[in-house]
Amino acid sequence: MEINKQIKIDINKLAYLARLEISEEEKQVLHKEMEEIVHFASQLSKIQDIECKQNDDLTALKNVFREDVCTNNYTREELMLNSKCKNEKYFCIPQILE
Amino acid sequence: MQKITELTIKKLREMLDNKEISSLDITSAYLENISCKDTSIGAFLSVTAENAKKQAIVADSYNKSASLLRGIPYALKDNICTKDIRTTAGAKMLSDFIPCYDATVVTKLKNEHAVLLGKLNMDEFSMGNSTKNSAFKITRNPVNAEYVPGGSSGGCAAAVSANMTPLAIGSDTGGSIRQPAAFCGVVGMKPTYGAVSRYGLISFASSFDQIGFITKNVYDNAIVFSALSEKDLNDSTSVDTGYASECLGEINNGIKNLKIAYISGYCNKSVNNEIKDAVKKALVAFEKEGAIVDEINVSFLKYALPAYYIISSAEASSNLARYDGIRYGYSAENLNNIEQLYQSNRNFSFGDEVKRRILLGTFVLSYGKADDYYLKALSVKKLITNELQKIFEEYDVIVSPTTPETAPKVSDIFSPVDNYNGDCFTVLANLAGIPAISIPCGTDKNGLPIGIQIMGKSFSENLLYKTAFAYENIRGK
Repeated sequence: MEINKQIKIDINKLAYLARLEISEEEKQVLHKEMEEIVHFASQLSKIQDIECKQNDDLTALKNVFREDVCTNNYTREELMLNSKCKNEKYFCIPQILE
Repeated sequence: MQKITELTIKKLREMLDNKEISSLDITSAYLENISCKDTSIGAFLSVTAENAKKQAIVADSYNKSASLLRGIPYALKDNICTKDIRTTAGAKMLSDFIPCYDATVVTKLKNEHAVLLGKLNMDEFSMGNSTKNSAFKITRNPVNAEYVPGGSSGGCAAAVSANMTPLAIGSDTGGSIRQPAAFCGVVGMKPTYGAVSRYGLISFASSFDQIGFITKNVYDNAIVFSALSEKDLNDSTSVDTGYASECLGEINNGIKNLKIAYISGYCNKSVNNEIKDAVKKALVAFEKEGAIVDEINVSFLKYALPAYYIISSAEASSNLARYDGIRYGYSAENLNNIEQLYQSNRNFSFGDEVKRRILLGTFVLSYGKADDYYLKALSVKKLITNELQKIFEEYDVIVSPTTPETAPKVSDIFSPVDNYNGDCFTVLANLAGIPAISIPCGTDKNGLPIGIQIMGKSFSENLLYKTAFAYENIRGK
């Protein structure tokens, strides 16, 4: 596995996946910066596969489970306090079905 | 005579217990200092003066108690949730966000009757190491206002350094407590991952994020660790740390025969000579106290930085997906399309560095790239953790500079990658989940503080405090 030196970055696709609406002007700057950052990240390609074949147990962490217990009660008003897209009872979003 | 605001938590505790001073006196002195100094430093995003005075009066109404922090003022990095008090994470997205609950550390501090002075400036969502990425204002280094205080907990380090609070609670994802502590000449501890609850901390990179403390000296820091380290049912990554209550009792035991591994030579960026000299002088001092020091080289450590930036950005891109502006956060008006609403809200309110990290995270997790970047970075993380574990089989602690350079000027401009390289020594502890403390070890020719970092194996905070305390005593604090 080797990461090419010339990595193609499709900034439009990445911006869409990240739900960022980036202007043409911003795109040019970000594209240049992203190339530099991805090149920096590609240093890992220098490590040979043989040294990194432990993919089966990468975090060595176990999930911790417990029963859900309700300890706090919040009112609808408290929980919706910070929303600017709401009516009396519900969050409101633009229409999603035609 | 020392001013109240120059006293340590330990001294304030003694005076409070002996009724030589009240919490209201202490709180008022700090609030006055904030109103005098913070116009030029810019550490606080909000000051909760009236609330602080009320809390101080309540603290004073209790008789001498077991609580070490009763009546002691503190301030919080603004990514730690406080019920009914604005919590912004330094982000325009959350500029008017008011949480309906307290973070666990805040609940514990309330139960201890500590006094909240206010919330502190930071890089947006903790992404940065200068506090210049705050959406609200720049914070300046109290040692010299032309320089940055570091970051992302820059407000925390600046506030403690300028005697505007004796204690700041911050968070450290890749060095965000230790680097600003080093730049501002104060003590910063990142505990073991899980040793202090992260419930109520606004997430950046969940597998690295850790709440920790900035104080004037090592003993004060240990007081706070002993008070706040506890398993929390609201944070499934938190663990039992019964040993924390012993840390003050052990702190003065000395470092005779302590085995120290010194790492200097893996950094992606060369280390400033003045910093090298200061750290070497510190090592000589350790040896005089009976410690044994060996310089070691560790092969994989040079890959720590790219691995850290890949994993943290991947996690950040996922964590920050929640900011759509619908349930909370900035929201544009009059948009008829849901996709447009998401994109517009996010693009308008996220800063440049946050966008870069989200894009990098999206890239390394995208189809065809995850194996080459994200999974490889996880492998490197595991290798580095194993390497460090091997070192800890032979040595008690690892010592390094905290940073390769002292604080840059506010006016200095760096490329994103140059900025990332400054974290080369600090990210190790986050990758491996181990505790690390930064303590002052001198100044450079411009009078800017230099920090030395001491790392230990998981759950060895007591040893780190003991080691740092011994060094601080040698330096005559």
